[in-house]
Amino acid sequence: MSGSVIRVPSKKLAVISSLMEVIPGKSICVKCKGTKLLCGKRECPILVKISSYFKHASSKRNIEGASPPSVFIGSRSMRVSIQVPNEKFGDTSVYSNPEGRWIHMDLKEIVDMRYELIGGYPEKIEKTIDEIREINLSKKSVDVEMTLKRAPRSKIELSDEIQPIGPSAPLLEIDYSQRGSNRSVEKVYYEEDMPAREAIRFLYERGESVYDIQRVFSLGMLGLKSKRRIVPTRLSITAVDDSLGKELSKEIKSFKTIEEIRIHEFNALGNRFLIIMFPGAWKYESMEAWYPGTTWNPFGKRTYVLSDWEPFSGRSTYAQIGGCYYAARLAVLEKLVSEKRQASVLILREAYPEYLMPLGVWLVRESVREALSREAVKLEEVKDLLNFLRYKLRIPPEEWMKNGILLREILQQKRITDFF
Amino acid sequence: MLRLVMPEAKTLRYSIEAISNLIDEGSFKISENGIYMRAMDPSRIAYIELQLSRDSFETIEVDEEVSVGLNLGELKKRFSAAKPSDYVEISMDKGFFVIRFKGKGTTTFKLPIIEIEEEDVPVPNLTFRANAKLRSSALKEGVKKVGIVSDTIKFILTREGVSMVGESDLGEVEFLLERGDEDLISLEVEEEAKASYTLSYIEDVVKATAASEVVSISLNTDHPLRMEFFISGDAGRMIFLLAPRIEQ
Repeated sequence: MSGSVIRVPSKKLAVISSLMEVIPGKSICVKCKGTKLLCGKRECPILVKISSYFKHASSKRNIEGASPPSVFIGSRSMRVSIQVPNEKFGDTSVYSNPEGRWIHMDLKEIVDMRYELIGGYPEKIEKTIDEIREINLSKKSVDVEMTLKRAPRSKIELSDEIQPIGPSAPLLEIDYSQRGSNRSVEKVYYEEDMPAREAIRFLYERGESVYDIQRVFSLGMLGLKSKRRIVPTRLSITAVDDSLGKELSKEIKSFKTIEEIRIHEFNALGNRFLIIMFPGAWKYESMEAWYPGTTWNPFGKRTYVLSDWEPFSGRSTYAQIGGCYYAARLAVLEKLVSEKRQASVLILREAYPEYLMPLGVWLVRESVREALSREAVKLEEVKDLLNFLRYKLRIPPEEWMKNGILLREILQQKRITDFF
Repeated sequence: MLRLVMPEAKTLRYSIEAISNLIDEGSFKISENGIYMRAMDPSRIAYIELQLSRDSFETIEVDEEVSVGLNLGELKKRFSAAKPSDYVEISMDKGFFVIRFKGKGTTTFKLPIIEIEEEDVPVPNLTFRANAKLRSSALKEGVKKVGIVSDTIKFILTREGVSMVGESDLGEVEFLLERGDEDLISLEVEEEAKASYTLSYIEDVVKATAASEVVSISLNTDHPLRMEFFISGDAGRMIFLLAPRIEQ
């Protein structure tokens, strides 16, 4: 397939561009995504409104089921909840590990499934942390019985970074049946001189999923003894993505570059992802556009576009688009490592109003992985790219160019060898 | 026998830092004439050359020329651990590149020497009709100011002076060194020249200014930029070529 044969349906495009004004992300909601409470309120009003649709009462205080295992540690409360799907036994890993599964479900299925995970948090964590850690050493789902102090509050927590979190209540008693330990996790748990970065890398190379690594990291189960602590789930997701990303980017920088422009695409749950790989040195930019009517742009008439990037030498400040920057970067680096190639990579994401609620950064990580596992459209020349983007995306390439860095650079940048 | 001694770590520290921002691995030629390295970045957008003549070293004892392949990111980390004023001694030991810093105690790092596929890096042969020599600190200042507004930088060399310009949706910025400015050491313009470049490459390389007081800038309209950083007087230099950006 060649870009030059693609005809842009110009009429359709004209309508769209006259309806929408695209501007750099100036709305506080798009920057905050419910994480920083930039509006000054105590709870994100957008999230409260959405989560209210999911209220249904549950009066059970005794919960019995197989924990995948799964934990959740709140960013503000710092409560450590052990999560158990009530009355579900056997292999329950699907409740907590999205890999290869969740992107093929629909939104309601995902939220309903997550709603079934009931959390129990000890009021005094010191007393129970060893037991929670022991459960999380397990390779397989662990049968758990919990007695809660009261019926769990029937509320689902939604966030752009964390997968939906079901109801929870204080934990009075916990009982579980010991299962076989995960040897790799056990090794880093007892290895108290191994720095966190090395331990994360070790688990990853042993084939542990990033979700499992993040879980044990958040429980303070790896790293140097003196530095181990309990870390909120949200932070642990980015920490693991960033740490692995930094390691893998070191690896690819000495590989040969790809030879042609490749475009991978995947659409999931009201999001379109285009991953564009250019021949050249490692460089990465992630851009996202939030349409009016999407979660973080509910009342606007304009589309907000955000960008974050890093040069060959990497970045040292936290990306404003948040955890999804690091999640997508990891997915891209995994692909480059497997091919032993480097490239300059641009991710363009359009979030449409069908993306009704935030589901967590796993959506970005898994969508990019899925896109990269599919065959790429290959283009010979940069000039074909603009037509291709015009045809694929609702936002015209000129707007992406104006709001980002890499696309403009690719179109304008000459090579030294052009002048010999 | 291979042993090189430098009284201060800063020269190597800052030039390696600049290079490692653009290139991952480098093959250093070490001989009795000093250290020499050149490479092109994987995108072929930038070319970089480091020459440290024997005058850069206090002692230089090399029996025969060797090529040493090193991971620059790792090399940079070792040098970052040194104080700029540390005394440096370089040697080799059974497949390792040995760096010894003397300052607060003596630190010895052994860094594995790696195989590097010998790539045929062409020597760019370019002639320039606009040249300026300025204090490195002034270049650094200009780059910093342009970066507030833009991710590209336009260099303009005229008979009147050197300017660095940035333009974006956020507005414009100009940093000007007029002829006669004490930071502008010399200016030779046969033909006025202007061209735009990706700022991040220049930001990366300008880190070398900590090891260099004077830089020359050469330019032709819409052609590559050449920067030559002079290190410890005339004892060493880092040459940097960068391809331009051309708006379509």
